[in-house]
Amino acid sequence: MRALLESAWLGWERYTGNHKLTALLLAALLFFWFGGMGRRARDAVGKMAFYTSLMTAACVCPISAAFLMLYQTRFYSYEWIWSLVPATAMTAACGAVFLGRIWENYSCFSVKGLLRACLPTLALVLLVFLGGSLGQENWGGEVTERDRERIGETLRELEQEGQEICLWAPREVMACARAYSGEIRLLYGRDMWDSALGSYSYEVYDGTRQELYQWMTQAEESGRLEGTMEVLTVDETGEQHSSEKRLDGMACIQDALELGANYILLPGNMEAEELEKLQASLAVELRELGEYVLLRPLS
Amino acid sequence: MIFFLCLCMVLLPLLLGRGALCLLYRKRPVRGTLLSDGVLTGYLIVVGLAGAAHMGAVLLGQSFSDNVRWFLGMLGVCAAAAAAVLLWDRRRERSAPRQQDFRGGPPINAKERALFFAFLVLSLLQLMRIVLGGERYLEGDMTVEAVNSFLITDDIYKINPLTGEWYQAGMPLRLKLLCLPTLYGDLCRLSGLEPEQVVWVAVPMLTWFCSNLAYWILAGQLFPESRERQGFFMNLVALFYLLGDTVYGADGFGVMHSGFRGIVIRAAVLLPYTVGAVLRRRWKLVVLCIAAEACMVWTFYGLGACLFTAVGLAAAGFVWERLRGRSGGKEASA
Repeated sequence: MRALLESAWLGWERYTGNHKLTALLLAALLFFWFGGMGRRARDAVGKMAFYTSLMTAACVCPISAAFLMLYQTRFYSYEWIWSLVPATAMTAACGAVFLGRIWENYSCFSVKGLLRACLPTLALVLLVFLGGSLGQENWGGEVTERDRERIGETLRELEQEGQEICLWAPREVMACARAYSGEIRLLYGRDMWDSALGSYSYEVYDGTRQELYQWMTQAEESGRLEGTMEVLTVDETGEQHSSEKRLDGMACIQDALELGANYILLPGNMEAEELEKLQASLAVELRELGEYVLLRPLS
Repeated sequence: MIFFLCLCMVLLPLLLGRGALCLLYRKRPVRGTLLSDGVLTGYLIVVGLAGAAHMGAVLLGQSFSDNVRWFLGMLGVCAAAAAAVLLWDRRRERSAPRQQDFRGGPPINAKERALFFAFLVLSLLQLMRIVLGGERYLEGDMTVEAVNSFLITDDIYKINPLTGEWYQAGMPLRLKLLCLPTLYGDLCRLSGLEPEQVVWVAVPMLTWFCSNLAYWILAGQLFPESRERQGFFMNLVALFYLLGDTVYGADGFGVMHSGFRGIVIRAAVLLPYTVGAVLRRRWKLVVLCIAAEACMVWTFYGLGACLFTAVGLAAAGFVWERLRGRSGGKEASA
């Protein structure tokens, strides 16, 4: 319950941190209750406004928000309790009444109409625009559409070899591969880094696969075979300790081959001497494939 | 092909929906109901049929192809029944007085035409964003992977969609029973389109369309006497959708970037339609919305947002009427 309350307290900050659309809803409710709209409102508008007001208060107050999150199950985060508030409908309804009153007596093609009606209308539209994020995206798609097309071309080339594919590759390729084709198998999926996907199954990745992911991640940045990963251990007293574990690229690639990977894409920024070391030590063939280096075991 | 699929996904639900409304509201000839009600009710029925076929396949361990056959079979039977009901209703209507749609009235004036044109422009911008915009919000989502795995293996959730390997420990039943990936797989099998095209383009277009229908019904309920205010309402909704495009959690964000997710369909279609149904006291439609949500989103730990909203709005409406009645009485006595 404490975690829920904390989430509800911080959730409001996060929800309104990047946009002010909720502020528009609050302004609409103020207009309804104190701007004379409530007295003249039809029953349908009044009922919706009353419900919206109650639910908005419930979503803002952390205690009631925590109960709503409990009701909607902890599977969903704070912002989804706002689904219970007809925010879009209520804000649009109040805006429609406001604009309706302004435009009641004026034609849109007269000069008088232009000054007395268009200006408040434009002001309202501007206010609505300022309530958004002003074009600044506060989210990033994991892979852009352009990257997805590029990765698709790489995967198409792999498919042309006509063999069953069990792939290990940099994260962006692993993120796209199963969506591109259901015939490509992966050593690990997006649930390795997307914790929300982890709740879709009871599967747990073993230590080897987790090391493979860690090595690939650091290889994408460093271009080297040697790397490190952080290991967290818990001692008898329950205290957590962090230590570094050395990752050997050769060993990781051998592990991947043993797990069944027959196509391995290495990051394109791998240093040439590192690739020579690989070719000398393992029975593999290397060739460039798009922005990656394809490693295949010699049959 | 995508547009043709979308057209079928509108016309078939319209047939099913009109037939269902004729049965659910027998006293009122079906011509008195809105086309938008027909499409949305039909959509709920399609989801319900997909949910039933999917649940049967999962619980009985049937293949994906069996699921497709069941779904098509039930759809065919319901479509035939709906056509028969509509024919019967037409005969009945000939003897009953013609009821006018409550949206009828004087001819459209210049202001209303301008509002309609503005709404058209905003709608086209939204549609372009969905079809051509390209960026999808995929965090926590594996719909395309699931559909791909169904089509390749002809099994439902026997392999892990994210890796292509057989499940060792399995997945929770509460998530296995949600039918949207199977419904999208059915559409892929029927249309021959790739899962990416169906899930990331066709379905979001349909969600956007149904969302606009739901808000259109709500507009008619909130402002029945004024087409102008209905026009302002719809334009503001369209503006919020465009503005919310970059704001995670806003309605517009969901519709523009992840209109295939159950939680977005609930927020953008089911909930506005539930609000409109409660305000019109169409309780049977509310039940259909609750059932559709259970097929798409409900995880069996909560009771669903549609039920909560319906009960909450009905209770709030009851209190509002009492308060209005009391304040009306006080004014009269003063």
